[in-house]
Parts: sequence; C-alpha cells; structure tokens
Amino acid sequence: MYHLDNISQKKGNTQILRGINLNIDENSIFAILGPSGSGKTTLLNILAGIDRPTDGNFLNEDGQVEKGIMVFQDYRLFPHMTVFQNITFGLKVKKAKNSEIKQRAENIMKTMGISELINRYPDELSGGQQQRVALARALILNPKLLLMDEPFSSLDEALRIEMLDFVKELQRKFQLTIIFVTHYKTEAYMLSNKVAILINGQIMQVDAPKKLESNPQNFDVAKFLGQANFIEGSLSSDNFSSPVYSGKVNVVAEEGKLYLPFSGQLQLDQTDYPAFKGNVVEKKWMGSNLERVTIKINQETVYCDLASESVSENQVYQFYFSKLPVVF
Amino acid sequence: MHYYTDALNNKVFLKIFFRTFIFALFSAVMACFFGVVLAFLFKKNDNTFTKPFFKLAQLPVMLPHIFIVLALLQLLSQTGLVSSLLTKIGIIHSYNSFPLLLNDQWQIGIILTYLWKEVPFVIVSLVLVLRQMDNRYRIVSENLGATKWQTFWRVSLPLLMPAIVNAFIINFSFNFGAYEVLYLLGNQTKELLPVYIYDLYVQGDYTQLPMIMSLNLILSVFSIAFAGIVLWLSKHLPGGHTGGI
Repeated sequence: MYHLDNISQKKGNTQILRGINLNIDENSIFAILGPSGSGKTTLLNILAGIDRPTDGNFLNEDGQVEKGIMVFQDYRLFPHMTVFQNITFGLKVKKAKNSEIKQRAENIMKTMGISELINRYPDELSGGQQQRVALARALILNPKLLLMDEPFSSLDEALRIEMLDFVKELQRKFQLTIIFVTHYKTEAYMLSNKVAILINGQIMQVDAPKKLESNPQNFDVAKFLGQANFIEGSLSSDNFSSPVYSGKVNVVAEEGKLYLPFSGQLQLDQTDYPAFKGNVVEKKWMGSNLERVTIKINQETVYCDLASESVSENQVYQFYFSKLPVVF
Repeated sequence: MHYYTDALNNKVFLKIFFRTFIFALFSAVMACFFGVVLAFLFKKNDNTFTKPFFKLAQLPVMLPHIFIVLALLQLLSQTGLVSSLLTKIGIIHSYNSFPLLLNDQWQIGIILTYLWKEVPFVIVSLVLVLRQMDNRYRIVSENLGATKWQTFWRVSLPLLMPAIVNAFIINFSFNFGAYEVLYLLGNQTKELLPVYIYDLYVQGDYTQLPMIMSLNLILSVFSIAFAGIVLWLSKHLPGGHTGGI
C-alpha cells in the first residue's frame, strides 16, 4: 500500500494542492481524475520525486519515501537518441553491464512490440510507437511504481483503446502499481476500478466509477463528471420546488440544484418516484443501442439517455426517477 | 593554375596558413567553451542575478570591433592605463615590466578582442535554445536516475550541439578571414593570413595580383570546406540527430 500523507503544495501565493490523503493498493491501477489546472500533474511530479511538496509525504508500506518512474504526456523521448538509446538510458546512467543492458533491452522491446524500431529516432515514430518506447524506457528499470501523466491524450480514439488494454496487460505482467492522471473520465473508468476526483487541489471523492457516477459526493464532482442536468429550484426541508419537478429529494448540499444525470436516473418504467410529464422533442443516436432524448417540461429542457426506439418524437411521456433524486 | 600549386608549395604561405588556422580554431573553441559555460549560468530568465547579466552579455555583440581594439590599446598596451596604474601603486617597477599583451607573438590581444565579442555571441545563441528546451528533458533524465552531470553530458549538451556547431563555424570563419583586428593588434613577425595577403596587395606589384587572388580563393575555399567538414562531423556526434528540437 502506498500512502499519500497530507500532501500540500504551494507555489508563490498559489495553493496548488491542499492536504492530499490517499491510500493506494500495490499491484493495481489507480486513476486521478480532474479538470485542467486541478493540480494533477503537480501531484504526479511529487510522486515522481521531480517536485517536493511544501508539506506531507509519499511513503510506501515500509514507511520509506517512494519515487515512481514517470511516463510523460508528451512522452519526452530524447530526440537525439535512437529507440535503443532512449530505452537503455536509465540502465546506462546506473552503469549496468553492457550484456545486461542488451539483454533487458531485447526483452522489453519484444514485450512492447517495438523490436523493429531499434535504430529509429523519435521523430520517425508514430504517436503510438512513441508511447510504447516511453513505456519501455520506464519499464526496463523494473519500477514498482509507474506514473503516467495523461497517457492517452495524444492518441486517436482507436489507438487509445488499444493502448488502454495494453497498459492493463503490462500491469498484470509486471505486477506494477500504476498511478495515472487524466481529465478524460472514460479513460479513468476503463483503466481503473478506483478513481480519485481531484478538483482545486483537493481530493473530493475516491470511489469505483459506477459509484462516482451514481453518487457524486458534492456539486463540484457532479458538475465535473458532467453528463447531467442541474435544475435550479428552491428547497424547503427535504422538499424541492422547480418547473421541472417538485417533491421529496435527498438533500446533499443546500445549493438548490436538482441533479439529474443523463444516464441511470430517468426512466419510463414506473417506480415509487414519479418525476414529470415531458414532451420528447428530439432524439440523437448515441451508439450501443442508446439515444439521447431531449425533453421539454414547462419551457425547461432536460436531457436523458434511453434505450433506442423506447420513445417517439413529439409525444408526451410520464417519466420516473430510478431512486429519490439528489439536490446539491 | 600554377599560381595555386605555387602557393601550396610555398613554405612561408603554408606556415602562415597553418598558424592562422590554429589561431582561428583556438579562438573559436575558447569562445564556444566559455560561451557554453556562461549560457548554462544565464539560462534562467527568472533569476534576479542572471537576468541583468544576460542583458549585459548582449552588449558586446552590438559594439564594433574597433571599439574594443581601441579600448584594449588604451588599457593593456605597455603604456596603457593598467600598466600606469600598476606602476603608480608600485606593483611593477616600470612600463617595460608590464607583459606584452598587444601586438605580441601569441596574439593575446587579438584573442581577447575576439573572445570579448564572440563569447557573448555564443551565450546569446545558446541561451535562446536552452530556454526553448526549458527543463523538459532534464526532468526526464533525472527521473530515470541520471545525476546532474550525466544529464548535462548525455542530454543537455548533445541537444545544444547543433547551436554550438553553428556558433563555432561562424566564429571560426570570421577569425580565419577577418583583417582589421589582426592588422591593428597582431605581431609583425607572426603574421596571419589575411594580413599577409593584404600586405602583398598593398605592395603594388601588379604581377603578384593573380597570386594574391589565388591565395584569397584558397582562404575562402578552405573556410567553406572546413565549415562543411565540421557540419558533417557534427552529424555523427551525439546530438547530430535532434529531430528538429
């Protein structure tokens, strides 16, 4: 288990990280998800020993300060070195024996499927190949902890999915602990079963992807995760009143915003929680047998994802909540 | 054609040529060496100490050579200000005890003049590249376990090499072919090539003109060929392939 113990970072007058406390299981993939400027890279730099926190520690199970090997967002392959020279850089500076360097380089290049690129320079490689080389350069050092900064943001959609699977495979093969930061939630959800939400330098929530989506702990998390309607209204005790819905709610915070995620909260099948009657004005195909439906209720617009062909345009339907809705 | 063969068989010419080459090479190497060291010191543009020094370092690039020559003559000649000052405070007994730094056989005055202008030129050229590189590769290198020295030697210096080679070629070509500083601060017994050619020309012997022109051409062709060789060699040194960085 790795422990981030009250890590804070201040640069000038700007407080970038505020008392980060996290426990991360060894031999797992842990995602830190947050918007741009939330302090993700700063936190990763601290875990890589590139930066020092103004307060707090990053310790391993034995209470030792741990330093991870980083794979950077822009890969940062040394442009004047060939693939082989890039990959073996870490071993060379550690003065490993030439025979060992050669053997380990051959093995890692074979694992990464880049053996044929050995004499190429970084500017002769595609984005995916560069990422594999960057990973090989880190993994050749047999790190216990691998850190990845927005690892897939420069890749196109197809390659991103391929690399996500590949990284999972590497994690299993090398029994690595991988901590990666991203601002793409799908990336975080696909790669990790445990995701921490970092907003404004604070960890807001640590949960499984499904729980994050269904139970965001506060408005900031819900807003960042997006894909949700936030309906303005007034709150009196646990009763909410708005042009869309008036009735009982689960009050999490008293900002008076009804949280209706596009997916999973609204349905046509009857439940104990009737929502509203609305006119379906538009449908958009979302893939995987899903449609994004635009509903008009008293001049207000609400979006939700429903199974394909479950509603027709210009028809009024009674909608239900799957559970008592939340108000932030 | 026989003028070229005559020149290349002329021992005096070859001796002067070799001396000029060594002098130009030494000055250019020294300028690059000091320039690289100082560029690494000046690369931080947010440092209150290095920022004004970097601005100051740009000044000599703008000043003409003749300004430096005259300043050196005033300061470092045996009857100059430094010599007078040292005599007055009793460190040396007389003007003659002051070492011959100008018009000396080791070309110290010329080298000082060139360094005064060329070191800042190298600094300005390299600092701009260093600032563009910022700390990106240094951070990677240190994260992979390299020491500061290993990072400098294996990463920063090779990445800087194309800019250093360019600065070296410009400085060498200038040192090898420029005339006025050599004429004013050089030693007549250790003549350098541009002055040798000019002296031949001003002697007014028109029968020597084809020979003078062939010497000129040899000087020019050598400068270009040497630059080509240095560029070719630099492609095979670490940093020769930079992928446009």
